[in-house]
Amino acid sequence: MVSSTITHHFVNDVTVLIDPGTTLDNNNAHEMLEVITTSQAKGCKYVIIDMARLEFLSSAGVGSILGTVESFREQRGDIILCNLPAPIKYILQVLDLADFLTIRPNREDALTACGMNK
Amino acid sequence: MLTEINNKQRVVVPEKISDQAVQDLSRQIEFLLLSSPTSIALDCSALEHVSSKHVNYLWQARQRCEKAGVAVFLYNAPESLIRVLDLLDLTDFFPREKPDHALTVTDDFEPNVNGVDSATRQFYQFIRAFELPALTLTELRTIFYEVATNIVAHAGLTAGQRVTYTVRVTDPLVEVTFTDSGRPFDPTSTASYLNVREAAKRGQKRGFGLALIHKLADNITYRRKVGTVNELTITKRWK
Repeated sequence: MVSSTITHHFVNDVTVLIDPGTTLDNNNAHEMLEVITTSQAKGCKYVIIDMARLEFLSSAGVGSILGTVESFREQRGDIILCNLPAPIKYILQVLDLADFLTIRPNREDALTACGMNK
Repeated sequence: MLTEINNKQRVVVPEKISDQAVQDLSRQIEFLLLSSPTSIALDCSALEHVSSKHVNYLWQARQRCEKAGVAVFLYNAPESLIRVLDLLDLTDFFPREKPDHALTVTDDFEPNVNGVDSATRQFYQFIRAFELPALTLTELRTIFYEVATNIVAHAGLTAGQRVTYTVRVTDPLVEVTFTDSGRPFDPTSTASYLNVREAAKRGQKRGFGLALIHKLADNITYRRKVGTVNELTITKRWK
C-alpha cells in the first residue's frame, strides 16, 4: 500500500481539519499523531478528521486517534470523525469504537459539533 | 520470490509495463524455466487498462516458454485483455485459467515495512478476483496487514530472511497461513480484550493489532513446527 500524505488546515483558532488521504497505516500514523499533537499545542480544542477518501485504516491509525482523544475531551474539546466510508466505519465498530468516538455523517455536522455553523 | 498458483509457477504481469518491468519479468521467466516447470501462469490480476505493451510482453513470454517446451496460461485475465486477444486472433495461443473457489497461492515477502505493504497489495489483488462480500475483503485485507506487521515487528527476522504465506480460497473459507523462522510467538495465548475507555484514558497509541486480528478472524491457530518455524493460520468464513 502506498501511504497517503496527511494534509490539514486550521478552520479557526481552535479547530483543525485533517484529511488523512486514502490510507492510514503504520507508514503515516506517526504523521497523523504529530499533526494532532502539534495542533493541540497551538491551542486547538477540536480536531475534525474527514475520512471521505480513506480506503484502509490499520490498528496504528486507530491508535493515533484513540491515544489522543481523551486529552482533547479533558479540555472540553474533541476529535470528530466525519464522512466515514462503510469499511472504515466497520473497523471502528469491530473495535467497539463507533460509540466511543464522535462520528458525524458529513463535514458540516462535524463543524456544528465544534460549535460552528450555528 | 516464491510464488505459485495451484502448485504452478506464477509470474505477475504488472499494470505498468516499463522497460525495466519487461526486463524483470523476463528474468523471472528465465529463473522459473531453470526448474523445468510443466507450465507457467501469467497472472493478469493487476491489469485494468490493456495496451499493446502488455500484448507484446505476453507474446514474448509465450514464445520463450514454448521454446523451452513449457505451457503458458493466463490467470485471471480481465475482459479488456480477452477482447484485445480476440481482436488480434490470439485467443487460442493463450489458454485461460479462471479463478474458482478452490485456489491456493503461495508467496513470500521481506521482513520490513515495504515487504508488508507489497505483500498486502498482492494478497488483496488476489482475493479481489473472487466474488467475496465487500466487508469480507476489508476484513481479510486488515487481518493480513496486521499479522504481517506483527511478524515483522516481533519475530526478530534479519534482512536475508523471508516470511512465507499461503492463501487458500475454498467455498466457504479463506485460509491464510504465515510461516517464518523468527522468535516463537503464540498470538492465541495472548489476551485480546480491548477496553476502549481504559485505553483512551491511558493515551494508548499502539498495541491494537492483536485485538483487531482476534475480532476479525473466525479462527486462529499457532504451532511451533519442529526446528524453528512459526506457523500461524487464520481462517475467515466468507459465506
